[in-house]
Amino acid sequence: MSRVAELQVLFCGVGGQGVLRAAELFGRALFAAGKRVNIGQLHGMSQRGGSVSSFVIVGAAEAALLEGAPDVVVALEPIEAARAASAFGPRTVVLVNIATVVPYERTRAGQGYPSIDELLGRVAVRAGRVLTADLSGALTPLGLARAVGVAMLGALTRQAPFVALGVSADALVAALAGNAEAQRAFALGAETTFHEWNSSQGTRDGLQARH
Amino acid sequence: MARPLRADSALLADGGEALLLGNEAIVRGALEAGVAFATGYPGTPSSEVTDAFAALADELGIGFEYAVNEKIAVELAYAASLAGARSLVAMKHLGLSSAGDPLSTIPYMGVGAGMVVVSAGDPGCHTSPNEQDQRHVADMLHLPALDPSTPDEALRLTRFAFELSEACKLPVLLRPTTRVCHARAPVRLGPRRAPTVRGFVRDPARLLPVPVNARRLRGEIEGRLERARRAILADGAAFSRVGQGRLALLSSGAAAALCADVLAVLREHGLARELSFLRVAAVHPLPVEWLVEQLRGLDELLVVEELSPFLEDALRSLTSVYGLPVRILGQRTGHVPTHGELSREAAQGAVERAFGLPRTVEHAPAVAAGPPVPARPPILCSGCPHRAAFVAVKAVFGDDALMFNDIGCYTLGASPPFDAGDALLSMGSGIALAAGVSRMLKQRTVAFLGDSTFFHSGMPALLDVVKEEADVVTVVLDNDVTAMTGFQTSPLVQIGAGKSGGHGDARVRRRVDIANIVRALGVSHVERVDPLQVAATHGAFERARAAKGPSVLILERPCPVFLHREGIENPPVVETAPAQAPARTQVDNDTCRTCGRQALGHRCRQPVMKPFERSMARARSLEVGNDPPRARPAVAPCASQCPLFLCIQGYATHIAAGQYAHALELILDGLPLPEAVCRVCHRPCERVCVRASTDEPVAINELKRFVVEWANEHPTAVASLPKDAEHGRTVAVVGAGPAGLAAAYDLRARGYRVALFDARTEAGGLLRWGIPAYRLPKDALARDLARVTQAGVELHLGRALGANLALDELLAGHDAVVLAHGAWRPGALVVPGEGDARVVDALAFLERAGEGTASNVLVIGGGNSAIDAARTALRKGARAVSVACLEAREDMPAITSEIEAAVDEGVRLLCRTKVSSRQNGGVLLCDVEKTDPRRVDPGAFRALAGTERALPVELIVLAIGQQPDLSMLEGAGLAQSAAGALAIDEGNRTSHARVFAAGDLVERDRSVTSAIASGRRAAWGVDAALRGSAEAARRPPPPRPTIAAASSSFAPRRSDPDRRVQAPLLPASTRTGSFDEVEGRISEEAARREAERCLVCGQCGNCSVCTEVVGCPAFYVEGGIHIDRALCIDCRLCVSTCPNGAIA
Repeated sequence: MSRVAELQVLFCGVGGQGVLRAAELFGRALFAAGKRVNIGQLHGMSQRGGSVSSFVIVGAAEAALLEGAPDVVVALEPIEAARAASAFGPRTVVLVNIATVVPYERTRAGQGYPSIDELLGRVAVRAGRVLTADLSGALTPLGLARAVGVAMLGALTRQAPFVALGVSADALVAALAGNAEAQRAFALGAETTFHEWNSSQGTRDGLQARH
Repeated sequence: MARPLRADSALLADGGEALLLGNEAIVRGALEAGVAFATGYPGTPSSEVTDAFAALADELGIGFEYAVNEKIAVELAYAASLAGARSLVAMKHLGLSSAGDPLSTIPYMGVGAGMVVVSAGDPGCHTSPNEQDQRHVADMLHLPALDPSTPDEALRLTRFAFELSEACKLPVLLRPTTRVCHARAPVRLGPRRAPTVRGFVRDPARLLPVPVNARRLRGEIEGRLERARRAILADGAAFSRVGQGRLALLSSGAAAALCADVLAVLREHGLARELSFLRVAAVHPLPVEWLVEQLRGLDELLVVEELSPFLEDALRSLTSVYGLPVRILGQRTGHVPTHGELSREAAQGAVERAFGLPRTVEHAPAVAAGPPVPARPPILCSGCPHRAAFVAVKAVFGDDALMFNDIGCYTLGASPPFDAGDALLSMGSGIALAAGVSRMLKQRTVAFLGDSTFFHSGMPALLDVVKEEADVVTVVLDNDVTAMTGFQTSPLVQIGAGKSGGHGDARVRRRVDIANIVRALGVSHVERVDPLQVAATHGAFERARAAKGPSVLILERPCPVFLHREGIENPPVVETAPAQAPARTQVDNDTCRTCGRQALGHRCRQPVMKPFERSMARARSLEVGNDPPRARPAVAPCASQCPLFLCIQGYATHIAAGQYAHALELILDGLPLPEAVCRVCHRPCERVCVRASTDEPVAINELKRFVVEWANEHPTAVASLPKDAEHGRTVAVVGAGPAGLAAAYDLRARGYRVALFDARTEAGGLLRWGIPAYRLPKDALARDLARVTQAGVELHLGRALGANLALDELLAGHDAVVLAHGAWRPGALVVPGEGDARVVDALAFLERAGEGTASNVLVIGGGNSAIDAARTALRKGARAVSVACLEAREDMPAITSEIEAAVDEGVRLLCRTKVSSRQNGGVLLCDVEKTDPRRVDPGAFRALAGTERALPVELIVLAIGQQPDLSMLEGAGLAQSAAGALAIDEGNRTSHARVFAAGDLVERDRSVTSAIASGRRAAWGVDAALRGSAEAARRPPPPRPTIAAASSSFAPRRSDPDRRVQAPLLPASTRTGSFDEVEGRISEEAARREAERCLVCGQCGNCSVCTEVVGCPAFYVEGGIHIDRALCIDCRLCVSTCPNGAIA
């Protein structure tokens, strides 16, 4: 494990989904737990339906740029997972929330959402593991749809690279500062079973696994 | 604490370590330096600096304001400095150029208390149009400059910058870049200092840099920079070295943080242990003495920096001056990229190559093949009210007008689907760009800018437009805030009670009125409108387009995202009762993209076209406005009454959109003889036009005529219509009048070989022999005939059925026969009594073009033939022409405009009049009354006693209708109806399986259009009989108009009443001297205006208005069209524009 970047988590999604908030919450919780963190973000257009990504680097890194492939990816949306895939590596675990936000470009062309299998196939050929769950679908009936980023943090605490950090999931709950809705969403995310997406599913769409 | 400008509470912590954004760290550094005044203009990536001050300033007793622009911000900060207050001014890199004027002289004059200029750079153009390197500005303007590499360093350097500024009396430039501004990292906090204001020290010899002072002051700058260098060297925080080897890496700014990480990673790999690392945050002036000392002990130095070789060149210069043998690598040697943001891979690659290290970067394999992941470029938010402005401007100005955009949210108007932006330059530049292009090209142009940009630099540009009377429409899209950079307040509004705009209750108070400013600048055409009032917005753009010189439209509606964040209710567009919760907007996919004509098999072959959609949406906006949508008829009343079932709203919409070729395609699709029909149609469509409920019916036939004549001038613009493949079957058509020509043409399109027979010497039938040339010129008719013959119809003239043409013979040589030889037998009218006036039949009279007219002529009849005969007689020299008919004038069957033209020419109308008897020298007339309002036959009229009077007449023309002559078909055994006409079925088939009939021979409605429709129906009937109904149905015939189809409860009113266009007419006094065409065509401008009057009543399937014209990202396709609940804020713009009223 590199001291420069003990753990790197990439958060990606669409403007308005809460990507930046999730990353900041995560980073602040780890900082409060005594970790040195560096949170990077790029925004300015995030209100306007654009792609948004943010990342948390735990370790000595000075620069706000990912050091190689992220260990965990928290993708709030499948297209955004596929867009970020070129940066993934064989050890990257990708958590994908299967909730679709149709890009306007597709709607203009009279097309619907692209094949999720194909999108995840692209992720699978670059990443170590791809784990999926419809967290948005589970949160919506509870009126918690806007808290999907927090729920994904719950799921993140179950991943081995996080566990290896030695920080308790309670540190994240504490960072939610008594927000009951956020805590419910976090708990739901932590309890949800994510399904392993099998990369062979992608090959039927003509995508060949590279490694 | 007020939203949206929350400040991190850590900014006020007493000490320890906090997780701060780079921009927040700068604010904290300033607080630790006792800053007393802060200002700036928002701009990514600098905005959080000013935003944090906005949130904290009042509480801390610090002066703060969002300045109107960066130049003013620098002046305000300098003023505070002169007043003895430490001041900070923040902006993005572009702002530094905007502030260049004051900033270039301040170094001459010197600051009072410390002054720090934060100018955030954006390598990689993440949110900027360029990535200029401000270090060169620092050098040029003699500003000390510090480049922080991390948030922690940003804090320390900001704190130091105030000390430095006071030490050298120069403003200090702090130049963080995106990766520092927007990184959140641990920061060590020091103690805060209370703001102090020491007072203004008068010093005219320094503070008035008139030339005599300026020359002296210039000399002092060197000393100031020298003091700065010494202060930097003494402090020692702005440069450092790790390692003592003879190979070194030197870096500064965000690149230095990257290099530190790269070295750490290399060392974890056991590499580069002997590599020294030099960090230099003080990029101007350089800590020369320290650097020379370091360089002296080095063999090789790699300089890693972003954007330009600023440090590298300075170091090369040092080696030259001091004679140092070190070899310097960097951008000049190709080791480091010369532009763009430096990536980890590039930095590591540079180190590895420079020092011959093994590659440690894992190079990822190429991205998997396949279509690209769909992009998500930023677009105007769903619910952005100013989307309505772009919808309207494109509907009114179309795609031809040049439009100039500006910095801010409205830059996004230049993206699809609006494409409303031909160039974009800098803050406020849209106005000057529009003015300059307008001046060179002599055309009206459009400029867009937001409220904040208007204040920033739009006002002077607008003054220039006024001064030069530039032909520019300036559109101010006023949303109350500076939305793009994070909803900062503009001079327009203030939130709550706090002076700085960050605190207190969530109320928005308007402070400045843009309209007053614009008027005061001298603009006389100024309109303000809520963009979501769609009809008013279209009207405002319409007036702006028509105006000359400067026009300014101010579209006012606050940013809904801002209102939501502030917890302020979005003002309603339509007042609703409080109890009535507005329903969520949704799409009815049963009416979405449906076409009532298509339901009858009439498939529209047109592609979905944006100008067409825009015109349709515009018509709908003007009609519906902000009302709930109205249920629309499946087929517009006009089309339902058109014998040819033409898609009238379709071609009107194309004309309104300027797409004349497409309009013609729609016309030709159902009408092979457009030249004739656009002149002589009796216009049943206009009688049911819904527009009459607002003002007058649309001048539909004038529109058709315009398009037909436009096509004559643009023959190559018209695409040929699709035809079925030839299949060898043959049909004979008898009679080359409108019905026969239409049947022949249609059969050719269906792949038949067609022989067209006519008894006369020329084709055209009634069009040639019955309609005078002043209504239908012979050359126009010739073009229609050419269309038919060029389609491959073989014409056989001089072949008369019953004379030299036999039905049996035709049946023997062809698969089917269509009889369309018309109704030429004069009706029998017995005028009692004897007299010396001659009596002729109207058709015979017209066929000879009025040859043999007399001086006094009486025409009997009230139809078009009567009016034609009367006007023909006038043209042949008759001196007194009367038309006598039983009907009242308003009931005459003749076309109203023809009657009016006849009266204008001097024809005397004798309505409700009967010719009771002939006598020598003329006739006796008497008045009649109608006894049965439901009947139209002569038996329904009764002569009124005592009204008899004499009329001198030499020629009586009988125009009382003609009957089909079936004598030549005797023996063929064709069944007849009870009324004595040929009996036909719905496919115009007679009782003979291979004989069909069309036109006046069988139709009760004796109009040219009905005859053409009848011919088309016969062609369909033939096709159904010979090839089967499935083949035939691919070209369905026009359905027979029914009154029921036209009666609809759909009766909207448009918000813009206007008279219909009048076609130009020859002056009545000159008309009767010739047979020149009386009615002319309308101009292109008039045609477009007239077409825009169309309400587009019927449903249309050729539509993607919501996604393509309105372009709201809340819409998505999944089977049908749907609205994403999470994105839709129920602004109802889509409701006001949906052509089918399918969104409610």
